[in-house]
Amino acid sequence: MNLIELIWTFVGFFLTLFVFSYIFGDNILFRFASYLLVGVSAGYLMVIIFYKVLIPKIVIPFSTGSTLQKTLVIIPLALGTLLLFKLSPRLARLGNVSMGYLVGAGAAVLVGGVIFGTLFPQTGAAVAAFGISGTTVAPGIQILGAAILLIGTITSLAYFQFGMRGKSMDKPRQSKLMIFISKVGQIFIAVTLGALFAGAMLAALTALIERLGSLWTAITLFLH
Amino acid sequence: MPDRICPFCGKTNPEDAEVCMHCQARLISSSNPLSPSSSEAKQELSDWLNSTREDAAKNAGLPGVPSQTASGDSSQENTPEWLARIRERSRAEQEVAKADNSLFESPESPAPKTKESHPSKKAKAEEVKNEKPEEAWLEELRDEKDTMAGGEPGKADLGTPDIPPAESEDWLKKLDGWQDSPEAHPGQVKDEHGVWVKPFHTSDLKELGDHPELEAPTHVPSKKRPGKKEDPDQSWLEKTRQEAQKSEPPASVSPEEPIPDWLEELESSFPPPEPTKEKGVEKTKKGSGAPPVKIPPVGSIPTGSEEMPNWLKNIEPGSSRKSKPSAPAFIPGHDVEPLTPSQPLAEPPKEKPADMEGLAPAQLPSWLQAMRPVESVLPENLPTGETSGEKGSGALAGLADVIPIQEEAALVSKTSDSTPRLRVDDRQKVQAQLLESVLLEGSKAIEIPKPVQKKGRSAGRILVSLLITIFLAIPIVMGSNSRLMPSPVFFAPETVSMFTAIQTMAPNSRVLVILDYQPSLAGELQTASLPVIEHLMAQNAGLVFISTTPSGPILANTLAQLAQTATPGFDTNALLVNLGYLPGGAIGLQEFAQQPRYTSPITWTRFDAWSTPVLQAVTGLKDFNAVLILTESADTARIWIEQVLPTIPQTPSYLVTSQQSAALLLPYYNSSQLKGMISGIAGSKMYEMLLSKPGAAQFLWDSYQVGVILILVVILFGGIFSSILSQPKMTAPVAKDETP
Amino acid sequence: MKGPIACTVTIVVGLLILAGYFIASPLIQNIRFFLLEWAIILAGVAGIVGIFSLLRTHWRKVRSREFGSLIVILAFLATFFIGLFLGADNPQFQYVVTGIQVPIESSLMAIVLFSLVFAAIRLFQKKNNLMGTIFLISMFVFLVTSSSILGMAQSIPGVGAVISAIQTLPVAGARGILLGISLGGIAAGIRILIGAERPYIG
Repeated sequence: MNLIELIWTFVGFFLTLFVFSYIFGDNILFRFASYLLVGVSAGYLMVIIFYKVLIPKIVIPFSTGSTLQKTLVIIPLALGTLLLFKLSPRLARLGNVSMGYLVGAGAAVLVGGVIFGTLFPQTGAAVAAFGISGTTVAPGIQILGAAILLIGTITSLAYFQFGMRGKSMDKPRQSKLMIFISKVGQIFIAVTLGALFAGAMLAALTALIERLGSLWTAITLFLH
Repeated sequence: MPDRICPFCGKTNPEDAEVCMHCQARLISSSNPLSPSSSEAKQELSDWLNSTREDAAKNAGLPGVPSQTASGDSSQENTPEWLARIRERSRAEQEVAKADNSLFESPESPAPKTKESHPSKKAKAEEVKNEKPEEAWLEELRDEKDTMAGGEPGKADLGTPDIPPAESEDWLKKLDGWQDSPEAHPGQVKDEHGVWVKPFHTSDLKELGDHPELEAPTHVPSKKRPGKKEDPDQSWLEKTRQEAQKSEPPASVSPEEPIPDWLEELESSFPPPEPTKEKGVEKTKKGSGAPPVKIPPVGSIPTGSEEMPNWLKNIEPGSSRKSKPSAPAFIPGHDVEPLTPSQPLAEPPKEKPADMEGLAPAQLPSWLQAMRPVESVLPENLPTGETSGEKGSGALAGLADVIPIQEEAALVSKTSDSTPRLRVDDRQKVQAQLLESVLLEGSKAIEIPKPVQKKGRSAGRILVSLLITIFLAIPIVMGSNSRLMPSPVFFAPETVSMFTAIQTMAPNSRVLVILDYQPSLAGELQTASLPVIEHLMAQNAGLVFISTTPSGPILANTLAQLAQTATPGFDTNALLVNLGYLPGGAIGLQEFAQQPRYTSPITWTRFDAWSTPVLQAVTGLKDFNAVLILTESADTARIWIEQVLPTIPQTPSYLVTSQQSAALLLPYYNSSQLKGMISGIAGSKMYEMLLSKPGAAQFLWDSYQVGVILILVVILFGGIFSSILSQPKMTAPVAKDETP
Repeated sequence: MKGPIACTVTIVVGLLILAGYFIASPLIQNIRFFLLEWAIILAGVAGIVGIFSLLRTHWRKVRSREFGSLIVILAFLATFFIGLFLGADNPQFQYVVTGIQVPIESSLMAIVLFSLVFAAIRLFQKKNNLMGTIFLISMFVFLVTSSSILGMAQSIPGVGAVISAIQTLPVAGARGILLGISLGGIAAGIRILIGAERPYIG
């Protein structure tokens, strides 16, 4: 390991200790590490945007590109300039067009991806689970498993439905069937959330172990 | 019909007006002066008026009677302006009256009849005029009264709308004559110039000694007519006349001569006016012996105390103060009741208008009454009525009970600085205090109190945290390398399928490696991804790294370096391409899925990416043999699955993710959108076990297992312990007293 | 209607991009490509706007004598100018990520473990309803299945199948959650594309 790597290893070592000091409570070392992270992350992102967005997509086509390329670059250049006005409270309205462009493009991409990437495949998968061909599991057990999955999927979706009906004089309320279905959906959702919570603890545990390992590595490097 | 001219202000009024519209002076008496009286009476009125005027002219030349000319020069110099104006008006009226008389005289006028019907009266009047000119007017007044009282039947009827011109001329003449009659001017006397004025006291006369023209009219005694019922007013009038005969004309009264009895009585009933300071007017001499005399109000005629008329007896001294002023406009000599501050300002009017007599008086609500700033507005130490008296200066010199201008106005003190006193009850006070406190609190910045942390709790947390850390560090320090804890027995099917798929991958395959994990979970993902990358490197698969996170390209280089260390035969220059950062998020992925060459033309190190051996034959994503997604976030994985994978349905996709997102991404494996999946260190351990190649997972496995067990124990026992401590204390049930 | 031009641009751009999912026309695909390219440039500029806004906030804090924000500004300036000078792909510049971002962010994730553990302990103190109780039980089960404790139960028949079935159980709830997210995303996206919702008007 060269000197630069050694220096940066110790920098990482001390920064890790600064953050671990939060176990004993909020202190200046922890705050220093937090502020440093924010500043470095913002600076790094600015460098990435400069080198990977502005230069290859605006500067180079505008300077060395063809006439068509230059003409096509004017539109995003103008929109980007208008978007910069969002920094000014008085002139923020000028950036509404650029923001609308971004929002519209993002919404369209989202809708298209959801339809083809999640909605159709997942709905098909809920039904396809009943297919008993090419499996090693007993058909009965497979069907039971598929049924449980289907019931869980439907009841989980029903849990998020809050539509109510009521007569003119009565207080609107859900039907008893919907209440029962949503209760069943609560069970499946609770199981999933419990699994996610356990997974989050295990991920944090892994991060702690990895940090402890890096600390020990730095200590061994220092000792040797 | 011509308009009526007010004798006081000289302004025109409508024909049928009873009171002047400008000065509110009475133009006609209560008895309808327009009632057509007998022709004789009308004629007699005009004759009387003419005779009065002649007398006035004669008096000017009589000896002993100071004429205007004799002392006129000196008197004219000292004449006040108001008097001069009055004289001018009277002269103008006389001229007008003469002109009217000349206009309305006709041969058919019943004047001769009038004369014939009352020849005795006229003769008598002429006799009186000849003998005593000053009593002529009084005699005529009496005659007129008799005529009016015992007029011919039918003549007193007022309901004759259509009056022939001749008769209209007669009543007009009479009207003119009546206008100049004493009945039209009650309480007033006519001076030598025919101007109706208020009779002055002798003290005033003494003051105005240089103004002999302001004489009180002389009382002309009238003879009693036989057969006539004695009128109390007439008796008083006769008596006055007799007394006047005894005494000299008041104009000639010198300050040293005795005062008539009637005048004395008059003076005793009214206070004297205040001394004035105007030029030409002598001040009231102190100790002149004349008692203070009041100017009687309008409508009341001073009389003797012995035979006081009933209406006069009812009038108490000083009662004029309490009565309302009947002549709001300022008229010289008229008594105007002053508005003293002692009177309450807000007394409701006691007299109701005629058309509102049926309505109940308005009752002010209590809150409105409370808001009336009566007490604080009224000045303190108000001057009492005793202080007001005769005015000593100004135009109101010699007059009492007038509106205070200077002296009394100066006595009005300023209102106090305190706010108007309101009537506030206790409940309102409390509410006002409450509102004030709310307003005061709203302006103050509320300090957010720091959350109080129990020291015991923080010490327990520190202790537990340190224990966990120590227990986790022990296997690392010891370098156990998975010798302490057992390895997993049950392998996840998604891990097995992934291994199988990569294992059976064709050599020199191109794998698109999407590295989209954050530095926060770089340890876990790096640990979980290394065996897969090493396996791919071992297969000589071409690896193309791309990332949508800014730190992804750097982490990809780190991962590749670590994996190459474990796989030394892998040619990174030929088989490894780092396309770097892909901006735009989901939009960038959609564009990359369509046009990867245009979207990422250069590598992270700024070389032409699509000229490398790995990417030379690649035109689109479909040319890749596999897609490997490395991400800790379920959203990022979902975006890649939704945007890119549908464009390459035939390309197998694999996922390496963190334990925290595994449950949420498992449906994608279940739906066969993903062919394999590794989650966390456990999945990495399984993969290493399947690969039979120990890696970073093995190094961390012991600590991982110790940590999992430790977490289970801490949560279980800590939860039970804290739930016991948080239970409410059970109190023993109190034994009930058994009462007999 | 506020912002008619912005709304028009949103609808036109959105519908053209969405049409590219369903229409395979080369004209539509080319237009869609340029629209996406310009959106990527705007996304980069939006990142710049966000960074400048962050710096402005911290600068105001520095003026109000909060010196922690001074560290932010200084770190930003140092990183930016070093990166401009060296380049983003410089190996020395990579230590910004490996030497600063990774240690700090990993350490922050590590201390989250203690917070999660104490949060799980507090769950025992509260009176839980059906969902809370099942949540706790599920957490325990998945912690156990992730460990090697059950490795000792290898000899017991059927344990593996049960464990496998238990580990598959979250799929049902997760699929329902994913479908719910998808349906909500579709509804929100369509509302934006028809102009019913205009979050960009500010």
